[in-house]
Amino acid sequence: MKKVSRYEPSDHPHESVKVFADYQGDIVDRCDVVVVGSGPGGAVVAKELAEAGFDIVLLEEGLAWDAPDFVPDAGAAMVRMLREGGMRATRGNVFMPTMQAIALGGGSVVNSAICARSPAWVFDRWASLHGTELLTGASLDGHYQRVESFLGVEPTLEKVLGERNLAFKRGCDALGMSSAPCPRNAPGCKGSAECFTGCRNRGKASMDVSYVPAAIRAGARVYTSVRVDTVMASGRRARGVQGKAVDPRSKKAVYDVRVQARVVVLSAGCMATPVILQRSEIGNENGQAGRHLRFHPGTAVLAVFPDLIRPWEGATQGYHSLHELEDGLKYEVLWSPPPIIATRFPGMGVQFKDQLARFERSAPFDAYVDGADSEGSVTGRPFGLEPDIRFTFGAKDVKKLHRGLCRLVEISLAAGAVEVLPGLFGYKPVLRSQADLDELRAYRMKPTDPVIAGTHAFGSTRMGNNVKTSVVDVDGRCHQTDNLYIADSGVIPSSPAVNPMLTIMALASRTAHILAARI
Amino acid sequence: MQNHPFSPLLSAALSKWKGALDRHEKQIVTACTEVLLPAGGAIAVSGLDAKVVETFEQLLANVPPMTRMLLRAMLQFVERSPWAYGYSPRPFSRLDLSQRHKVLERLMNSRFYLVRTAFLGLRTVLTVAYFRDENVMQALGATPNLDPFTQEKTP
Repeated sequence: MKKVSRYEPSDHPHESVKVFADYQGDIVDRCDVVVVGSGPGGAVVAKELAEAGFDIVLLEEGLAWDAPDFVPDAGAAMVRMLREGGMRATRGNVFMPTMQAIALGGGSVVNSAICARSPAWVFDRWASLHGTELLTGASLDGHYQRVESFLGVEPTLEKVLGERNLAFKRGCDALGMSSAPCPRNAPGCKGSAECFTGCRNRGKASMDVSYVPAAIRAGARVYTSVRVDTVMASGRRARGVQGKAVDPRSKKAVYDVRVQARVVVLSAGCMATPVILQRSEIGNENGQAGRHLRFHPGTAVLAVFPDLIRPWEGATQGYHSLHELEDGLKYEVLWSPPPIIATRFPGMGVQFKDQLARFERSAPFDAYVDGADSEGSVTGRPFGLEPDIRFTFGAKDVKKLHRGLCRLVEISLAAGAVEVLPGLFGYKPVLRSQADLDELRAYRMKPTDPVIAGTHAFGSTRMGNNVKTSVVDVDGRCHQTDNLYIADSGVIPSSPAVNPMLTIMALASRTAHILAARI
Repeated sequence: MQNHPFSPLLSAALSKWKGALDRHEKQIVTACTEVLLPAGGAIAVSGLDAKVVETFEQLLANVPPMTRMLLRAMLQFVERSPWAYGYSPRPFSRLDLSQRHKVLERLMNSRFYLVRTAFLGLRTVLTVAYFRDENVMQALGATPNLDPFTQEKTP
């Protein structure tokens, strides 16, 4: 594998990206490989294959948002860059909000840039559960390294941590829990805490400023505002994709899009890729696309300190603890715009506003569970409506999350918090002491009690060696097809333990290198 | 509101389709805002002064149709909740402030998950709109700072 140098930041990262205004009629193109989706999976495949000399077309449904477009406003960011205006939620035994981006660069534009490697035992677990023995931690090391080098992944620098992250470290240290600065693809981070609304400093190496421009430099053609509906096929062979160019203002599908290719790679994300397969006549022979959807269900507490924290300063998620990772729990510092964090605050009216005013002394910390006991599905709906996402939050995971919640309270108190808001329905809104913590430990939490979020989604087109229970093999190729591949979070069969972005990119890099040898 | 080159009836239908709140929906959002984000307290600015209703309308206009439908359904649910709960035959937007407070409190503390989730959703959307106001952010001290660790902090 060739060594890579770090990406080149540019003031005009989206030059040569085709936008809706460029389209004068139906789009017809032909290439070696068409990649659907420009998030962490698709962007990596497009760049690697373009640099290997293949003719690449990269299609993206969202727009190319750039630093001057970003505004530190939660509402605007959600409406512009998130599916369903940021109000997407699962149905089932819980309504769990889950955010999927729709933008050039996908989720990397709005996430906290955490780039953590999954430990080797994760791949051993996948092998025993899904028959993916060929995919070992060691076999992925080179790809992890390659992505990390290109994106400039490094642990969050101390100078941009800020009080919020340092408070979490203090709490973990006091309890003897291991913790560390999060490794992130944010080499230019200045600690402005604006990851969620798009980094106005261009400090984050999101896909739209790193992998996509590199793919374009290597000859890839990138079309935005293009929604792919189906994969064209004859027998076991995919022939290309077809869809529509969608006017970003009116949201109307205006032009037909048809791209013929020798190989099709779907990287539209774990909610959109299975829907494309469900509509197509290839890749879903056993009806597995969209099943086995997994999440990392998480919750957060708000720790209120006696002194100023100024939580809006410092790396968005700069510190984490992997202390209980093997038990299925990860702890992190959290930040997102104040109105989103405000869901933790109890009450309404003046009481609610008084709580909001305590923000400057507060720090949110979150925990998520591996979701081993929970599962869902995603199914397409007719007439272009958003997909139906279902999820059942399993009892063992609820119990585990309760343990995580107690741990967060413990970390907060150990860090010096005078109050902790657990955000539990029907439970005391504020905890202040060890006695309160002991009481919380004895509490029997129901799945509907905490304010939860589906932090990471994966598994809807999972890999495995059994064609009846999985969608792709360990190389990312759809079973029973010759040339249809998937490279996004959907292929991850069960929890990657840590935040999945780096693993998605490493798997995509692996798939790209396998493809380069096969085409 | 944008002018449409159609008859007034069709224009009204189109503006509704595009997401603008109708008069009745505006009344419901206003009634909710008055209770959830009143003037006073640690952040003096009221929700109405922070133009929460107008921002809500903008958000509504820009979300996908199904999300818009859900938000509209949520408003109608709140409007009918006094009757549904046997609290009052009058719709929510016609109750006085203290009665509205009691109704929303019931929704917030409802033992029905769906009901209190709807309340939390409503409060979150209104809070998102509230925080769009610069005065609110200033009251919090949370004015955006692109380079907080090298620039001098303002007192």
